[in-house]
Amino acid sequence: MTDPSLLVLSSLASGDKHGYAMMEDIERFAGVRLGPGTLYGAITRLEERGWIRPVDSTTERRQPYTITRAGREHLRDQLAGLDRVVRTGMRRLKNA
Amino acid sequence: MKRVMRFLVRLYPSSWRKRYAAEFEALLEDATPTVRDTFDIFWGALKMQMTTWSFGRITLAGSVGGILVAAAIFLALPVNYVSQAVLWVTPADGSTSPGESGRSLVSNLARNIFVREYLASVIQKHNLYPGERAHMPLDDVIDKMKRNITLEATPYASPVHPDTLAFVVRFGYPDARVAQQVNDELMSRFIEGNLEIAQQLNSNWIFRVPDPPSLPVRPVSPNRTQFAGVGLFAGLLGGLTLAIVVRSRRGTTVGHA
Repeated sequence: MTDPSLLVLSSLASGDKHGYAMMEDIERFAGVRLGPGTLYGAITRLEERGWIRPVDSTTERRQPYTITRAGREHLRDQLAGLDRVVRTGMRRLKNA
Repeated sequence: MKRVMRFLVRLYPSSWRKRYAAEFEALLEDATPTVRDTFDIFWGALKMQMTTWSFGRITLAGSVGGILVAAAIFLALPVNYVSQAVLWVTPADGSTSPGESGRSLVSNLARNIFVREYLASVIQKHNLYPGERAHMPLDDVIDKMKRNITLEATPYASPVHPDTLAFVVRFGYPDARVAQQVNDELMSRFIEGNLEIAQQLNSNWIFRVPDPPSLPVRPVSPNRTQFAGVGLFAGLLGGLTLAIVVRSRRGTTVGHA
């Protein structure tokens, strides 16, 4: 899974994070290092669609984000779809 | 590196910068920058610009891009200048029509030009194809030179002697002056060959050179007008396709992040 938007949503599913924290978290759990342009491209799109939103921050510049209810639903749908693909692929590999 | 990245942030649309620039720069301060990140920011800025551009603006940008790519290809392609000379062949007594025997003479002379040893000596003398000679066998370089020499019959004969056979000899090379010098040499070879054949066959022909080898002013290839036209068309097509793709993506934002 390398879709930046899904990676960002998955990262925020465990709690609010600012950009750099998301980069580190994604690298840890997915082994993918998102570039700053790619990360903020995804953040922009996700915020436009209402799947994430900025939260009040004590530090002025590092803006944390949180996943919204719609974002969780979208993530759940996408992951369910991926899960079906993964399980089908694994089953077919076993039978091959 | 961070300075370059901060500069690249300016390439993002102003509305985006107003909203995200401060936190984006904070991210750049925290992260260890890599060259890949620099390209990533540039690419991100380009994509972000595309999302804010109008249909017409994307098409225009595609057209300009197409012309620029065509210009880059045009500049990268080797130029080819063609020197041209005209040769008249008339029987020495002026009474008989040159006909088939004249054509056969010219064909023999042409074979005389395409002799491997002779072309090798011309290549050495004028230091032709230095790049090719560095990595190609001499035989291949000679074949290339043969392809750059053309000899063809032309209807533009002498008005004084209408039965005169007229031939155009051309040689193409990336350097205009060298093309002219080599063509001059080929013409001399023609005339020398005529003297040898005349002695052998006891026939006599007069060779005249009404148009000596020209010094080409413009290259015959690549064709600038054609390149500009193809570049504009391809750019316009690419720009339109891109504009349609961007518009369709804007219209289907729900469901795909």
